Amino acid sequence: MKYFLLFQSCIPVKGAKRCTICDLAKKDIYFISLGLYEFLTEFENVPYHEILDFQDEEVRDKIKSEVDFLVEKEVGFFTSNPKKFPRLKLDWAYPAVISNAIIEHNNSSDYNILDVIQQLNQQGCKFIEIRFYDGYSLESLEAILKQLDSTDVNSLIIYLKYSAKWNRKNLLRLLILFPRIAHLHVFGTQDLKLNENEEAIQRISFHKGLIHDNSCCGTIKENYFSINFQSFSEAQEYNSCLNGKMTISATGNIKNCPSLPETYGNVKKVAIKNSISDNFRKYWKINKDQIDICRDCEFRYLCPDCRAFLKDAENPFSKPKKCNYNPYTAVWE
Amino acid sequence: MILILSQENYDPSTSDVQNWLDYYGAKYKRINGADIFKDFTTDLGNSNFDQLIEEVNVVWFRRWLEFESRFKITYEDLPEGVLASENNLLRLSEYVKNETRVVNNFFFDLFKEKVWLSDPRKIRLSKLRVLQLAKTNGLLTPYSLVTTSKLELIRFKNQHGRVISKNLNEVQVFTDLKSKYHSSKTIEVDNDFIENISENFFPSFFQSLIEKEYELRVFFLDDEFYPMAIFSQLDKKTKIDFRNYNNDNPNRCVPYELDEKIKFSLKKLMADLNLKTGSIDLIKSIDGKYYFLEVNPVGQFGMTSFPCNYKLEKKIAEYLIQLDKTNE
Ligand code: SF4
Ligand code: SF4
Repeated sequence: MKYFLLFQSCIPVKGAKRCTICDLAKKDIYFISLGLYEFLTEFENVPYHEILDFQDEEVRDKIKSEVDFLVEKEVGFFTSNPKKFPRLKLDWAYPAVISNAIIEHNNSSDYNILDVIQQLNQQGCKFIEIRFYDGYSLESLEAILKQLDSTDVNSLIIYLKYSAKWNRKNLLRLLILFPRIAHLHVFGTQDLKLNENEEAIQRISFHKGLIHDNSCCGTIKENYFSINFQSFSEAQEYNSCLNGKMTISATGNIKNCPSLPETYGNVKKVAIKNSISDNFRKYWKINKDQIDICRDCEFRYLCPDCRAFLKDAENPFSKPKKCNYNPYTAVWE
Repeated sequence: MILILSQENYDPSTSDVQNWLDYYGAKYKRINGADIFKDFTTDLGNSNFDQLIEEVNVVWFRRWLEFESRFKITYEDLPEGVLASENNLLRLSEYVKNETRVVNNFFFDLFKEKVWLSDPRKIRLSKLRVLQLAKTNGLLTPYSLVTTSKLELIRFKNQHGRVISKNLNEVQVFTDLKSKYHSSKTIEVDNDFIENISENFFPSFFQSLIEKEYELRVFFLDDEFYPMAIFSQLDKKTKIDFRNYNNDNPNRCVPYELDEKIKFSLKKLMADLNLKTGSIDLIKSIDGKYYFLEVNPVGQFGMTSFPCNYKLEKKIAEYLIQLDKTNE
């Protein structure tokens, strides 16, 4: 007796109009019909031929061809022992209180950046984005980076306003010296053609426009989806943008995100670890299953979220404003 | 305190466990093999690790000297007056290797009163001995043969059909001119192969080839099993040995449920081998049987943990913390 099963890392997700199979191992998405979704989820323990026998011919052919496609793509397989293949558990855990952070800085900032980074790292944070809206001296930046050797902050994304005082060498030197800079975005300048060091130039990019604040954040597009186990499992229960996130604003205020209004004290007065209250965590558990419209979307566990820019500012559970996907028609509008 | 013994590079799984130890605020220290060869003094009574010995309750052994940093012996290292011959170079390497072993073992012995999770002095298992023990504990194993004789090999093949040959001990890695790695992999011994070998050869290990439905890699820790099925037969490149990875199309690795009977036998085997943890390889054959292949006492648990979401890094950290507490 043969049963058809999906490999357990290929997870079917039901949308209003169509369904996806999220292949978390090969990082791919397949679209399937609602009918096949039901067959896959409701008749798991029924032998394949029995399921087919129940259907009229048209449906049978459709299921057969979809199943053939899944077998060919190695998304599913036939087995005589379906009980041997338990579901993949989707519980999420990560060894940090704060997992990622944004630090904003401008000319009037008077908090201690290094101290902030070290405090964040004590909360387990290894991924930090620093935005120098008004630029920063390379010497001071280098001094901070040197001090980070004793931490395990291993991925820094730095936004830096361009200064005419620098040349290509200064910037490359920084990248070569500090592998923990995952990416350096230099804005307010034309592309400086760098070609000395192959590895380092992968980690730098130039942007003509200026960046003043966070207003361009929160856009939802298909190519921002992350198809991997970590974010998929996190999204089952937690918010896919704000869970574990902290922002330090240019004035030193402790916030969830640069664009959300709430502040939870100022780093010049409070220790970061004392600011992580239940109130601070209030957005962390708003997941896509609770959000209007998103809960009917077949992308809901792959999609980033945004709680700052909402379709309906009055409703904390409304859909992200900057998403134009309609799951009821399956069209990006 | 928890003492972690490992190597500087190529051990991300251990760093993942450390992240959890940090998260739980556990006290631990990591020493990499190379550290000992930079800073170690003992008068056979005291040593520069006395303070540490006092604080440590549990030792977790992972790795020690990595392939790249094992002492590279060159002609320049040969003492003056000695012929710069290949033979002498080999002798010097052998000599340094033996000296190294004494240092390592003396260092490990400093912690002999402590509780060990994986003990480097006990993990050098003989594959053949393990197969014998697996059998006596009720596990099915492929037909096995060690021989120096082509005639015996042919007889074995005639009796059992398709045959493979694999390492008696660990895989060895070689590099070519372009620094690409070549390893001593499991191969199928077919008639062409047999035709081209001499009547007598180095003692070699052969097993009957099991046509597999899938392979199982089972991590074992603290009497619990974390089994994963690897569907390598989907892909020709990995049919004989799934370590012949195919990066374009990775094998499907999925959580699995072991039979109680197999678990019972495996537990007895691990107890016989004195192992509290390890990684076990099995094959589920197309005729529905489970064949035991081998056990790796310091297996890579990351490759089982992530695809199956077993969170082994977290479980190992919790287990170490518990051992640390109960052995204070
Ligand atoms: S909540 Fe929205 S604006 Fe804030 S960080 Fe997330 S995506 Fe950006
Ligand atoms: S509807 Fe919601 S879940 Fe779907 S793409 Fe838009 S924001 Fe993401």
